[in-house]
Amino acid sequence: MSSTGGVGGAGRPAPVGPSTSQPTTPATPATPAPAPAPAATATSGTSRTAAAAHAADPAASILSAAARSTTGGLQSTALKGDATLEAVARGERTIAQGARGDSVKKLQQALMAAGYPLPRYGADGGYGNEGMTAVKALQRDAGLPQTGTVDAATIRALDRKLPGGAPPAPTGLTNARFSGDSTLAAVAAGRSPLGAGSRGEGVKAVQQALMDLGFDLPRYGADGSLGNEAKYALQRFQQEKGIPKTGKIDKATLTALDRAAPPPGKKLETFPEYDKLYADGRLDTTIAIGFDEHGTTDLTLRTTLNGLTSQGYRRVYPERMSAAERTKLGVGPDRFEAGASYYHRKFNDPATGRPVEAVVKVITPDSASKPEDVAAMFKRSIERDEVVLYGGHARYGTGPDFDHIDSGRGNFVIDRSGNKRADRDRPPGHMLDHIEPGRTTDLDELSGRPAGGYQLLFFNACSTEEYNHNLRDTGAFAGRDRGNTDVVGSTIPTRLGTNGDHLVRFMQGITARESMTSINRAQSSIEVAYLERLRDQGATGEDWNKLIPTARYTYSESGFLDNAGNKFN
Amino acid sequence: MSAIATLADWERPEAERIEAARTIAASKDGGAIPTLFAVLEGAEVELARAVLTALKDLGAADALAKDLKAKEPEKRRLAAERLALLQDPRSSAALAEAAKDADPKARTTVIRALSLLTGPKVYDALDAALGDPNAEVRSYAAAGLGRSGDARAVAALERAFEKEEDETVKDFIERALRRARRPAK
Repeated sequence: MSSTGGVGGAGRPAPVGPSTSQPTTPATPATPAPAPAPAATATSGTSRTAAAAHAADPAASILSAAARSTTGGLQSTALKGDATLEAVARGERTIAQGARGDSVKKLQQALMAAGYPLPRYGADGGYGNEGMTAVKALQRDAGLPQTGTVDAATIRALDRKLPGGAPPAPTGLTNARFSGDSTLAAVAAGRSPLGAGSRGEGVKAVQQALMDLGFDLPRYGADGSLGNEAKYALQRFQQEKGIPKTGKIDKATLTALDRAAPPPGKKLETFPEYDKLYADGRLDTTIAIGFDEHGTTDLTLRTTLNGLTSQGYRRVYPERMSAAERTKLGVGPDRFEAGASYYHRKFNDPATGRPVEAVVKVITPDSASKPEDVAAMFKRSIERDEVVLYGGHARYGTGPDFDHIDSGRGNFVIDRSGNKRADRDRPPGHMLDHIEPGRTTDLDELSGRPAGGYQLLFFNACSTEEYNHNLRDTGAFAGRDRGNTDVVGSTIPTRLGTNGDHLVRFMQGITARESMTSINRAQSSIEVAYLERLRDQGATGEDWNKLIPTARYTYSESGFLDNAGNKFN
Repeated sequence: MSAIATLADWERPEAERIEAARTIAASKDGGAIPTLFAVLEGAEVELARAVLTALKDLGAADALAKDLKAKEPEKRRLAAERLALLQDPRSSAALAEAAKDADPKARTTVIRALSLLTGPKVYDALDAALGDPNAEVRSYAAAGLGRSGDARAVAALERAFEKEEDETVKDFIERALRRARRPAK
């Protein structure tokens, strides 16, 4: 099941009170609004006929008055023309617990017709606990405050659910996947947002839209229940769109989703901004490989170099080139690092046929004598290169690291506090002890960004998706924003043994104008294949099999939503 | 939920998974070894430490050392791959013996495992591997010599660099030389 912390569904509580009749309490009787009016008389625990109740109801005089006034705009056969209900629709009164009469009976019949059963007392003309529960369910489905009191918004929501009822009010929702849903219409109209535990077709439509935009829901999918998984996906979408990260379906979020989501049945395929990347005829790239205590750094380097070689890259030595050649390849003094190695390939832009010179700078923990110098190299790459790939540890979300975990010297601190999501592990204190107190982020040390105006970053490390928050928040990262920086991270732990394969696959894609959607799909397939291999080597059967499918959603994108060249498929 | 299922589930809190690793270690269940290795590859350091302890307690290194002599090359390769993750000095002799494995994939992985260890036998095996016909073997041998802390390593690497024609191996040797020339802590 999907959600943690989910509020229960529309399960009907057993009626309270004597079994022979529906109890009512005089707490909040039918209340005219705004003018004061006599309260409805409630008789607790006494069986009465609806007719008698109506006759004895002082509110009847109010009802008569309401009957003389204009209609409240109700259109369904079940509700239309009832003076009291029309008055409720006009906002002149409400129906609260304890109210009785024919209008209440009509209301009860309408509730049942709309799919809100009253199994114990039916349409008995008395508005008690059972009726309130049904109305709360209606209000929840309509995105209204669950008061149990029938007010104008509630009666109109009920009217829309009945044959002949009023069409949904114009909401501004234009995407066909949302426009027919009354719950979402209410949200779009500014009513209460749908938060944790909300259920229904509207939630399902939003979940499907998120998935079709690439915000995966690997465990529960579009199950119509707003749990933690959907909440995080909503927060990521909100982050992308620069709206408050409430994790709820609110007006701003729904409006943004309405505009961003493809038509029903279609999915968004995203692309990096290739025109910008290739514009100057160069593709300045860094591949940085972090330190691993388990000795896979060399394996990653070897796999990476093998992959680059097989893609046609050849080692070049900028220090041996003429100044003109260095400028042509983009390895002049501004981009040259003595301890890095460089690999070059010339390829033709598949779209324009124009040649592009790609030079990859490869940085590892052994690129300098001191780990802090390697971290500084990485920093300069972020300042200057159009594409930066990091493969290594994420150190509980604190950032890349080019030496042992028990040293702060090789860290490039993205966020000292590390993982923020409640379901992710926080950095242990002894690790943070090695990073100087007060060093909250090294991002604010950055001075500048690549000249081309666009940057693509890929972090292949455990749960690096959270880096996105830091990397994309305007102002935190030297002129970067959602428009000029795209980031790919991971949503779950990645395997050390596949690190190089991912770096190589990324390089393959970005020199072929491949879509990010396709690249990430391939990346996830690498993870799945590797996990299957571990399973075949004896990693325990059933549980491992259960986990493997979630690796299909290993990678997540940030910043790609509005890129030129994106397609709906 | 069984300890092994808890350990494998990357969505569970690290503290629970560490406790599961301890439970498995205490159980002496050798059948858990493949899962422990699989988990090790996707573990942050705290969990990885607990998993390594469990693997040591379960005697994984000894079993893998025997597998280095298995008939099937893939079994030998897998054993070396896992020994590379363990980095247990007690495996040095067995790995050094396997350093000339006829199967290139197995030999490559053996040298990579050796490159993460130190000691006289390790040094000799890596030094010899610098002349291996396989470029990957030479790469890992160079990386290991760079980390060896042995005073002879710089000269050996410089000699290898002069002879080397493969650019990616030269890349490894350069990095290894930088490491070998680092002042001792």
